[in-house]
Amino acid sequence: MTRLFRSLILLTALWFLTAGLTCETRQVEVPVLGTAETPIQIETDTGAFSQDEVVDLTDIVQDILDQQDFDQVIAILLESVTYTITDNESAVNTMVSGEIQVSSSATGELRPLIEMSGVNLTDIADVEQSPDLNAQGVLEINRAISPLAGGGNVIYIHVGGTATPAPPPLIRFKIVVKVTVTVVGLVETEVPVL
Amino acid sequence: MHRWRFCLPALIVLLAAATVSAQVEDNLERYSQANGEGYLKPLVQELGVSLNRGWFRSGHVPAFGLSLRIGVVAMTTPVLDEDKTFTATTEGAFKPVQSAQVPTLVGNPQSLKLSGTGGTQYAFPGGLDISSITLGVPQLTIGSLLGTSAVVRYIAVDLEDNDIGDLSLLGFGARHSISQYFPLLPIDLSLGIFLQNLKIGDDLVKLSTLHIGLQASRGFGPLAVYAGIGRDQTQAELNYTYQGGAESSAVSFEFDGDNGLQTTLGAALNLGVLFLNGDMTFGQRQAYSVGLFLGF
Repeated sequence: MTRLFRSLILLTALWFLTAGLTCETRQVEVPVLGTAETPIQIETDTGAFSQDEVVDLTDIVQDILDQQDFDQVIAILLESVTYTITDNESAVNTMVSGEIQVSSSATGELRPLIEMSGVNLTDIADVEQSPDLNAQGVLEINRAISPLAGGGNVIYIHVGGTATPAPPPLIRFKIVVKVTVTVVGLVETEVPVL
Repeated sequence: MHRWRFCLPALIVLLAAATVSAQVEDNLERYSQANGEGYLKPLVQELGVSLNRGWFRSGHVPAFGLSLRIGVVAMTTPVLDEDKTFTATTEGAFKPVQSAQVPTLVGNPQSLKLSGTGGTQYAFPGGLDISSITLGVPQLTIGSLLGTSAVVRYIAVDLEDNDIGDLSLLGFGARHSISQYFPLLPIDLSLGIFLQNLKIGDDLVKLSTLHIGLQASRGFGPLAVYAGIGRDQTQAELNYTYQGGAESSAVSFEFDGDNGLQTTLGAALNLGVLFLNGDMTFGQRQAYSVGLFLGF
């Protein structure tokens, strides 16, 4: 009886230390940030400007997928769009009013994203701006980046508006548009449980 | 539905350490310091409580004599519900800035998403959905001289992940008999101090623990009941890279785990050359440990 009792205690302890401790699989959602930006050169001798450019997120998204080794990509989300005025060679106190528009295709309709109203280029030079975003433009970007919608990860940007006071001198500056996305992937991992 | 897989964690500190450690670092990269501390703190707190357990199983320390016991101690600390979420704040250029209750490292594996200006979205990482922090460590006890015995824990594991590095744990402690000065005491009484350092990678995680306390026991043949009261102290240092889109920056911070009084109650069985014990500890968190030793 004593021997049986000792054996039971020993087996229970061994179970706790080994078989009682097992591993379970967890599917964890991991968000990873990716950013792409494009500088758009604006130059006008009339005061009005209009320029087109693209922001290509293909490489950024692919780098994330390659590095993270996700089991599955759940979503690609637009987190923010900002702009920064750089290389400003315009006259002091040049004001800009206009709009940044976006499209998910080269021939598609442009949707409003960011409104610029009376922006003083000197005041905000080299300072990243985080403006409110128009829902139409956000939706258009989501079409471009959504893997489920077959998006190509390319965003077509149009910057248009007017600058005052009108030239001369020549109005010249760059507007750097930065798009930040989050790739949410699923990763399987083993965790110990009792 | 969870898939079950048998593994041998009792001999390995931080079970499945390679994959868990890699996942911890990936999720941490989403957070700068303020959020990173909240995300990781419950794990550090429970890890500290677990690591501070299992050092003793008796208040008895012979005045002189050779004794050597080698074995394994398993410790577990259940995760509290309050540890599964923390208040995090959105970072970067996301607007408007918002705070929300989001998963900690031991919380829900689903990421939490918040909506911002124009329909933008911010995603907080999920956790590992851990219900308890359970460890197994090898331990050696050597005694005794002038009523003092020593105990050592050591393990070094190659995590086979070049990004993470290796894992190492070194702990040592000593117990000194108090009851040898008071022969008429009806119980055995000792004073112990136990220190440990856990390191993952070159500097990803550095955890140090300390336990100081009194241990008491009384034997009834092969069975002994024991108790302890002492103070835990845990300090952690974390270093990782915050990935904020195009920018990345080094993040380094230190914080304390649960530091406070702990009370332990347990029982031990002497089966000749085999020694078993189990105990429960009460404090800010409950913890349990079981030991299996061979020796004399």
